[in-house]
Amino acid sequence: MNASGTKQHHGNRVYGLPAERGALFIGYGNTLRSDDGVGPAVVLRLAKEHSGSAECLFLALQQLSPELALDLCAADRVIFVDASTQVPAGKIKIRRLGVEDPHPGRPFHTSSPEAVLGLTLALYEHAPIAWSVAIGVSDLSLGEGLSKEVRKCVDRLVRHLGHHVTRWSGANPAGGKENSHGNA
Amino acid sequence: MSRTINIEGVTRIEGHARITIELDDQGAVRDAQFHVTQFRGFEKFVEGRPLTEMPSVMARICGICPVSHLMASAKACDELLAVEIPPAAVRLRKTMNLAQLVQSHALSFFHLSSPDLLLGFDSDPTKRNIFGLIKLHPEFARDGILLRRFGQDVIALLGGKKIHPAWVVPGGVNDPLTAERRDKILEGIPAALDIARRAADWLATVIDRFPNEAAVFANFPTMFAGLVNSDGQLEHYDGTMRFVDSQARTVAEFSDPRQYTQYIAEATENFTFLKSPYFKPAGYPTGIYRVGPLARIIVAQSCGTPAADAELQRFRAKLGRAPTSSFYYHWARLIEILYGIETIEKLMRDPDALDPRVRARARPNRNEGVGISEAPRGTLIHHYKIDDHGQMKWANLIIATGHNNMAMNRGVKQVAERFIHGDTIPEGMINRVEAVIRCFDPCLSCSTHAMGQMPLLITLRNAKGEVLDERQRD
Repeated sequence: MNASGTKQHHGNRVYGLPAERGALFIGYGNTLRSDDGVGPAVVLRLAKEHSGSAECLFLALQQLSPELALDLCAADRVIFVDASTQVPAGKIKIRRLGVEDPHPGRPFHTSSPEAVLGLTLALYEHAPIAWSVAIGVSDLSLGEGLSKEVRKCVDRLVRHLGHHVTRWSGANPAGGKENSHGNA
Repeated sequence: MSRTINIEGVTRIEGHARITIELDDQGAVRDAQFHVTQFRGFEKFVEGRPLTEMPSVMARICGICPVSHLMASAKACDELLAVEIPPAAVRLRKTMNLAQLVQSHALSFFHLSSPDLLLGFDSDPTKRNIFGLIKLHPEFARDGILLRRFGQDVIALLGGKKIHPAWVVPGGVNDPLTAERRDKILEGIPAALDIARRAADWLATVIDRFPNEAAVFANFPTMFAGLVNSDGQLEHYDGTMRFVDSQARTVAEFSDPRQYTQYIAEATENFTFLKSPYFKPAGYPTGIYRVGPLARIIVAQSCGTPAADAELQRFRAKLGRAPTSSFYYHWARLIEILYGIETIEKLMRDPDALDPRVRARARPNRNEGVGISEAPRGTLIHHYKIDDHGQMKWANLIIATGHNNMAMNRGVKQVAERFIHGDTIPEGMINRVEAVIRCFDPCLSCSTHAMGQMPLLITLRNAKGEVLDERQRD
């Protein structure tokens, strides 16, 4: 039940988010910690180059939080882009993500992709198909801007993901880069 | 033989803490101590930084309520510049401050505290949390998600991002509001207001189910403090700082933030890094007072918005003008959520909401400035001193959770007195010690500038300091 005992419709988006299910690109990290900001950098580039895509939503975030469930429940696919020290610097690792059962040990206001997917499933009985794109980084020092090798990754990844944006949105990207497969 | 009980790692609060309960030779509770064991020291490491950096630096104290620190810091910097910021900037800052209040209160009520209210204080602690709530009452959890999202979206629409927006600057804000963003903010108002109304209606029907908790959750007379506007109504951004007694009679008030040192002093205790502010004229520890949602609706004559005032009327009809139990912080939070949403709408519908004049520019014109605003958890004071070049020489921060420190300690003691009757720590006591602290919704990251986390440990000690019992909750 909720506060009034009424059932709340939650399938549609609120506050300007897409009402129909599409694809989400979520880049997250701290842009003040050098390469940690690579996730937001990738997604902001994608958003700029594919501003005409109505079916794709691009989110650049500092961290994953529970409210993201509202976006995820409205999506069919989601790609999380993040920096990783577990991947060799300059390399990119892509993997399918599962859904993690929500558990009380995790702080509620921060989350992992698997946990926020689990929360979404628990709350809204739907979670999108999800992938993680981990970009190997080495410089996490204080400051804005990416290292040279990570900047190259961004270029490759934006081309690669841009292909998916084009395919999923069925629209030409604003930047006109139609054949942008690229190997991640 | 006196004994001590330690509770380490209080759950579902912002940050983590440890609690010690000492028993005397007769087995009665002699004292209770709420330990905050983290330390970060923002006051010290900002020394030498230019004042223009202060709002952004101070916002990093907390990822939950960065906006609150932005406000108090920017106001202190306005004082250093000796400028009157444009009216449009005041409205926009107020809007962001209230959006912060709504999202923070939503997190506190729906996700941190409602599991106790909906699932019961004595229910299985492994299920008495947000995830247990989702399983049994998913719509309630969704309401909380949506309401928090509303507040965060307003912050992002104004400041560009939800966490640590760099939009509030000394002298005003750095970007006026556009019609498109204003309309998006207004778009979210009806759903948010609907959720807040439903939650308040629900709480009013169940509030009587917890007489035992209300009786011992920091239920004692203290002073209350908070800002009020020129009409004596609820205020969170600017206004008169008012202290009232436990019957809501005004004891003292001041409008010039720099006068706070005449009324507030800070004591330190050797068991915690959290300072203990007190009402200076009454001395320490007699000058105990509380801040935050409950204090604010006691200090204020009314809210000044229709839905919030209707709810305040229902609150006062049931509990009187100044209920002394901190259990009622939960209800006060919902009243403030209503007020926050209504006031955001009012501010956004102001004919001058889109006024492009939003920033006053000046060089430093004073060497000392104080900014006071209301954070979700209570009054927030930033006090800065700079040199003639605008570089920070000294800073002092008095944080909402700090104001409530003495009341939290006494609240823990009151619960312990009710539940400790022997050499062991009953489960019901652990649950309620956590819950009384959660009433205050303390933010230890803010109050000590804490980093990292620690588990909950309760230790029971005898008069010789020997451990009789210990309970840990991760």
